[in-house]
Amino acid sequence: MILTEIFVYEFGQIALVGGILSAISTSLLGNLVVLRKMTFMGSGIAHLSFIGVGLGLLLGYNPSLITLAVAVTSALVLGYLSRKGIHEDIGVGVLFSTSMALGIILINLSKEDSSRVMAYLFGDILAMSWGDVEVLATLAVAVLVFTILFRDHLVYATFDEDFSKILGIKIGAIYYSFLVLLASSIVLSINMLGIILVSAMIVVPSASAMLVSKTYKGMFILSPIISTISVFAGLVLSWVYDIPSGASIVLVQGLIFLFSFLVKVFGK
Amino acid sequence: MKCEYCLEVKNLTVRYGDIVAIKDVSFSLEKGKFYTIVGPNGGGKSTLVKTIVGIIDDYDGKITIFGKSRDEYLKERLIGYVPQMSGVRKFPIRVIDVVLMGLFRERKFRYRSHHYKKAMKVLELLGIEELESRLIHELSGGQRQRVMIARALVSGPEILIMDEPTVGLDRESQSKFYNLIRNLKDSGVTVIVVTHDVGFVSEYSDAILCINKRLVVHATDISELPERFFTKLYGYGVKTIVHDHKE
Repeated sequence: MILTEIFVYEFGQIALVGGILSAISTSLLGNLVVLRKMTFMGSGIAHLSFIGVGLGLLLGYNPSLITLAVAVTSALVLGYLSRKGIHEDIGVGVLFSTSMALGIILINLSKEDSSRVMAYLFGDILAMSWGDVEVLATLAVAVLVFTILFRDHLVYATFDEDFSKILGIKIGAIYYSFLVLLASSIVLSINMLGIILVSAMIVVPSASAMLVSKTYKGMFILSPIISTISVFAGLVLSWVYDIPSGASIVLVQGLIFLFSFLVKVFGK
Repeated sequence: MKCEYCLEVKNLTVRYGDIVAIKDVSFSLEKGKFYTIVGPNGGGKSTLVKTIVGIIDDYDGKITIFGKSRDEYLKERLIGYVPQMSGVRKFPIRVIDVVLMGLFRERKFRYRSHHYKKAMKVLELLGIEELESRLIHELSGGQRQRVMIARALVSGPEILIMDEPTVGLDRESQSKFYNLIRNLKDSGVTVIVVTHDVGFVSEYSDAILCINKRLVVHATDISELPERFFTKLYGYGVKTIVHDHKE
């Protein structure tokens, strides 16, 4: 069997291109999530967006659009709370379970087929279309431009908020833009990995890059590479061993993190 | 236009909610002098300097720097600021990148080679150029302090303000620090240091500002401030010790 046989098929090509585009967006934003120590945020936004899935199914509208609206709103509310002194992770901790409970009740009321719900919970990268890829490409470009323009602004505000004020950095607007992009990246990646696994795309490649590269600048180069390798290797593994693609991608990310950790501990 | 004063503060009041941090503080400082701000913890020293450098925007009163309003001046150039040394948390940033932060407003999109050269020059001036590639949290307290001074100096400020810079420094590092201040003052920079080190005040300052919510006194000579005055200011016995740092 040729390992890359999956990419002969159109669904494999779509999965690879879409996966890489998602990997670029999530890993670049993930660096800022890891540096700001708000790693629970990705998982929180994903779970909060479950309300959107429930609402969409209950009202009969496209759940993706409502999920996006719920995720962006949730991220902005959490961001606002954070700027008022309530750390993002505390806000997420409070809203996390409540939102899942509400989502479950809404889905139950909608009497929707459980397979559709499962698709949102666990995702299916092989079911993506070229239309999905176009949306992911647009987002990836937006994230790239944002990173080039505002990476240092956010890093400085994280490292030394007082000094960033002296420099005249208007952190509010940049921070909220970052949260909107983060929420959008999470929702668009839910199609691939599902609500439960999507936070791995945000946190794990950046955490691995941090172990290996040591500096924040290195993280921004390494994390998209690690994430892209994970998508490629995860798709190949899922094809060869006939296992779920999303889970394979996350598993590869976990193995890379373990390898990075061992390199850091024993590589000195 | 030649300005008599480099910094004028008039009727400055800063509140945190209902709590008044400093009230009705007024003073004027001359260019190229070395000033020390002393006062008890919670007396408003850090609030005062944070308001002057632009960290705190919500205040009543007037701050004039080289004849311009604070905001007008800060749009054009930075006041060098070295924050209080607290435990630096682990953060993946190199020394050179910390110093480059001071040149952030000079760059367009990214730092170029002349920015790096400027940053290296300041590191060399402070004798820590070999630390360029080290991570900030790997450094000792004294080394970190000098990196923060380098960041404050790299943009060539006319005024340098340091908040309790000698806390946690050993004797050798303090000596180097005092010599640095002397050199800066000689080159025309106005230096303002917040400290509890009263002996240090007596040794090097041109003038002292005592702050305890209000400006208690603005003296030009330590001998004007008897020990019983400090005792009253701090609420406990303070003995002035003359340091021997002139090396």
